[in-house]
Amino acid sequence: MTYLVMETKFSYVILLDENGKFFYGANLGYELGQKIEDPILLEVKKIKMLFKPISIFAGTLALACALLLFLNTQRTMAPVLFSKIYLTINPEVVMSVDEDGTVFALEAIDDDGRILIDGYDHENKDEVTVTKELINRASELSFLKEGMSIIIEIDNDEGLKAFGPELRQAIDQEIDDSIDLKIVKRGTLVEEEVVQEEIPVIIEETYVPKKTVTPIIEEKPIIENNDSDYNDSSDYDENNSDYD
Amino acid sequence: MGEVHILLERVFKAKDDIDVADELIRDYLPFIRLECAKFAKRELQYGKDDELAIGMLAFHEAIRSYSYLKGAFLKYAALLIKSRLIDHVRKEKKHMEHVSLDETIDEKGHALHEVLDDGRRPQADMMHLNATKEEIVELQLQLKEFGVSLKDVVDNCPSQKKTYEKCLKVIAYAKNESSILDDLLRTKRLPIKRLADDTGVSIKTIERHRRYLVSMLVAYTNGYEIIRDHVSLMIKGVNK
Repeated sequence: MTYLVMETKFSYVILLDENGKFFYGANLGYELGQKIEDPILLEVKKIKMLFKPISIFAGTLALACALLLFLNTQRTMAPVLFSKIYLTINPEVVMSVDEDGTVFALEAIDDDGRILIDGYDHENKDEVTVTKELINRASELSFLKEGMSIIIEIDNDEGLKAFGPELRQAIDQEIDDSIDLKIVKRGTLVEEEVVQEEIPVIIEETYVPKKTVTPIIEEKPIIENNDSDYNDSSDYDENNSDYD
Repeated sequence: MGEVHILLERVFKAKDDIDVADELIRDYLPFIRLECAKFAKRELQYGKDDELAIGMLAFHEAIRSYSYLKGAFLKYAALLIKSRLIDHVRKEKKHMEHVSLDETIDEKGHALHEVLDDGRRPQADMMHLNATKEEIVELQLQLKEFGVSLKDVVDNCPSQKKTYEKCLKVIAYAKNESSILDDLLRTKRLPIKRLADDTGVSIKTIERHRRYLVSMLVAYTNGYEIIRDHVSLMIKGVNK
């Protein structure tokens, strides 16, 4: 495959291959218009930090703490919940993930969800892998078809910030364009829909200044001739309303 | 602490804009150079050493894939630079296993490159390169009139096979409809509805890849023979 150098920048080049696809690549001193083979292309790999360099002091301290914890508690370490990720394809499931995105629990919310995760093993998998695999399973089981939507709800802001962009990038590449993908904070999507359905009600509060004598107003009888309290100088115009 | 915060702010801004990332890389070139030099065990120069160019690309990848969960950004970037350079060395080693052009091929001591005709005609090559440059610059200028840059096109390029095939379907149809190409150039707008109706590709797909489709369709108008000739495999797909 030959690539045509379409633009050169300080740290990258834009390349066009013979299939008409564009790529970012390393700028190995290329010239505009040059044809190259075997370029180094930009990839976004998912690399997990297995360990971070730590100082000897911090290392010793961590080891001592771990030993103390082990001696005192003598219990196994349970994974710490960082976020819950709700996946709605039509079947609904919820993943419990730790800070690294590892899924340590997967539960079905509805009957279709139970079918979807039946026999599925989520152990040692991260949230992106589990989501991708469940979407593929949903597609195989005909739960997911063209034109449908996938909703991913994350229950807290930290989780949304940490996993949202990663999921968006990975799942967008996985699904067909006709499938709509929404990634939102849990609850916000429902609220938006409810607000859209409801007719807005505006309650105007009458300002009553403090430390003033409120005049005694005689109670008026209820008017039953369908007249409102608004007089003719009201701004309301039946033919020019903002409401449809 | 403040410096780290500023760096992270710049990293997050650079995630969606490769030119912002390019600026960040210019500023962090000493860091990248140091990380690459540690690996190569020699001093590296910009524009001369591949390791440094690969290091810069790895820095781009670090910007794009970074999240708070990855720890300190520079440590993460250093890790990616190192892994990219390891990949590069592995790849180079594979190439080394191929026959070298300097290898002696006969008793008289002739090297392989001495008996091979490289087929190059320097003057013709130079003229072709200049013509290609002119076409690319012209395409960039024309795309600018549509509010599209080449980096927009890369970001908008379909990565999924299915979507790419749908885009090819749209290109195949539109390139033979001179009225569509004329309208595109005149109005600077892609007739999304018409394309969707005539090709059966959804409006959403066309809208989502509008900038990519615009770039390829502009290339199908007059004056871009070299670029069209380059995308020969796509044309085969389009002509199917």
